[in-house]
Amino acid sequence: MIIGSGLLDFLAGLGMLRFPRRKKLLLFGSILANIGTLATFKYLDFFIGSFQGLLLWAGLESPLRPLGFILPIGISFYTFQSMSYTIDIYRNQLEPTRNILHFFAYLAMFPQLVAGPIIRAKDLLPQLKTTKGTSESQRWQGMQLVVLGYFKKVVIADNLAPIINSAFDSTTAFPSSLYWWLIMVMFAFQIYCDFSGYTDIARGLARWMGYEFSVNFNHPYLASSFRDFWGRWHISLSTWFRDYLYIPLGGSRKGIWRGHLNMWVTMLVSGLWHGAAWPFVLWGGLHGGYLTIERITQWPQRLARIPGGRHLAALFVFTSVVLGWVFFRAQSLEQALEVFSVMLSFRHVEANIIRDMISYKASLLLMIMVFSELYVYLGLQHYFTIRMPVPRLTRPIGIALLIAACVYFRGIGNDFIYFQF
Amino acid sequence: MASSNPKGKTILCVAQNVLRERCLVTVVLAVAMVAIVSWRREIDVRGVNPYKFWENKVTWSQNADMAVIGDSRILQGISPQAMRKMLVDYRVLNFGFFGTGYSPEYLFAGKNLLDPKSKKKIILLGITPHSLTPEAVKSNGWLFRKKQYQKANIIKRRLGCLDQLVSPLKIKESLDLFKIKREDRQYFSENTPAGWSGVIRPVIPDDALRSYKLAFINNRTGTHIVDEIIDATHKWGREGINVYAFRPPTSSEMVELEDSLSGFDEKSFRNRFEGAGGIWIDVNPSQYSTYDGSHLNRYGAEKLSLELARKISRYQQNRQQAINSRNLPANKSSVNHLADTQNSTGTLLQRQF
Repeated sequence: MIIGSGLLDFLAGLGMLRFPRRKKLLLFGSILANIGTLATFKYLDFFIGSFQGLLLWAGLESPLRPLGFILPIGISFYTFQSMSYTIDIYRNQLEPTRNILHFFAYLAMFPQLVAGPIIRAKDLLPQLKTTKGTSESQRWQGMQLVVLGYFKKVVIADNLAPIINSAFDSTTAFPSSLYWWLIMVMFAFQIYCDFSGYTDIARGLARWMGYEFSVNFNHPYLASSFRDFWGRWHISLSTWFRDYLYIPLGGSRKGIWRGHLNMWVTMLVSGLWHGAAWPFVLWGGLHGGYLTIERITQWPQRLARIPGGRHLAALFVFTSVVLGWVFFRAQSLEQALEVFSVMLSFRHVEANIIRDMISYKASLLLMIMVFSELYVYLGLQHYFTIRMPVPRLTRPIGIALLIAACVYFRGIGNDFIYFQF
Repeated sequence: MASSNPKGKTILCVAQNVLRERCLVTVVLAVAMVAIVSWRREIDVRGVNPYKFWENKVTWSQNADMAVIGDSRILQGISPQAMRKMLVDYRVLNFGFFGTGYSPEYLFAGKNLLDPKSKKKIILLGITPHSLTPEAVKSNGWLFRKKQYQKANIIKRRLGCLDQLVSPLKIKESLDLFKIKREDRQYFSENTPAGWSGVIRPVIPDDALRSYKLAFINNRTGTHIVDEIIDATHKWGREGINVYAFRPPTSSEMVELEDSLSGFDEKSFRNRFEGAGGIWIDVNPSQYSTYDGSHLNRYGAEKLSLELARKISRYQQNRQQAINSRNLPANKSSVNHLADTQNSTGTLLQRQF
């Protein structure tokens, strides 16, 4: 699959150089092939299933049956990388490479192949041309990233996972809003640590090879507006959609309402990109709604004018994002709506039952995550960097402690959540 | 002085370069930390290599006279070696797995351990409320080990003993590492070839209670799972297999918790089980103490195994006498007749236990 779609885009890129007048045709062919592959393997059964549901609702029987194709690993990521290559060439933003090995190294660079970050050809191809050895500093930075990534994944995410899984595996939602808020805050940190952990490992491995991948997460839960959140969460995907979907649709240049429409299209497609299921579409739609309200009311700017307003805004954004994650995590639309209604009902049960349902370890890890985010939010890292010079061996000891923590406090092994996309 | 010595200067230079390589320093520090923790936690790895142990358990087939089936309370609580002190010429296997539930597949796999040619086939079921829940059947520990064995690579199988040294720590255990004076810290678990994992651990009386409280939320014992066991007991009886069952002894707090939260009705289960031709063995839990509120340590396990073996041995002898007194050949091929005999004698013999 990857060789097929890669070869097509490699040749399309060279074709655009050779036949500039056929550029549009070649680009159209490349996009059609990429979207077609993605649609067939990832979305065809979803559309067939939805069509079946619609016919069933109308009392008719569907002649179509799901085809049950296996989803190729990393298809959403490498397809987008491959498409951006031909689009950038079409826009004269990139010179096509003649070196097929460089092209496939860009497309299938192993650390990020399965779950991103989505890298751009214009960032990586020049690096591939000028490969050189790595310095001690690069190796050390790479190691810090890899260890931090593993810590986030195996200690934080994998220890939070069993509690969240058991909550969502139950046939009926436990009737306590406090419990579900806790579960969803845990999920917010699980998915963040799971995904940003993978990205850190990918970036660290790349650095060991002498390459630089861009930052994919920048403390998203500290965002003080939804726009800010999308500038901090899965940055490589957000910018991809901005550059290759939102802006080509006209962005916000074609009037207010067209701008809203474009934004909604982008968010819904982004939701669908994450998974071929209606809850993901709803998740995208919910964020589209958040962004629309934010654009119309300009509430973050208004709130920032009052004392403590910025903190209130950050808290509101975090709470809303946590609510949105319900659709992302639920196993069905019915379950998502049930959990959503329990969360917003503010029904309560005895605190000791909740205490029993959430382990000490998970509570401790949650607190670690909250405090580490607050540490950054309050800017304490700058304070300590300036006031307290760090001895040379302090960091290696810290990283060694993280390695030991990965060994002794690891949770039950789980796949990375974003592997499924 | 070192600087005037060229050899010393070279060593110093190499040492400085090595120290400058922070990755290397970090790896050395991490290895040292792991080694210190492994040493401080005093795990004594004994017996069969863990991967080999599980590999054996999931690949055993048709070579036992007696199979003991159940979850972790069986895995850690029944010693085939101790049983063989009373059941001398029996080949006994412990087919217990962590967190396993009585799925039809698991019951079939347990029965499949018995040698078809054996004249004294016995299945002993350890009935815990959790093993009768849908969640235990779904996240079946036996199936998990089977899949894990299929996935495990050769390195894991050979070096499985190292796995214990780097196995995850509980928070309390990790805090204990820093205590200078430590008492009662003899940890070990000995995996035996017959499938028993004998454990010695410091006693934390309520360690398991918390997780069991959670285990029964939206997960009560299922009637269909009990039905499977009853059907299997009936079927096995007709095949000439003596089926015994008991409730593994555990702490009184755990019994109370399970009885109040799990929906398990021991009396009703026992009646149905005996009605299907099984023999229920009463065990007095007050005679045993657990290390975590749920499981027996190795000494408790040996004591329990002896007690069960003694009762089973007595029953087997009485059964044989009952068969002889009715002039029925012990190896009678008419298994239905034998099952009827088992039914009638079984009910009579309950009183002796």
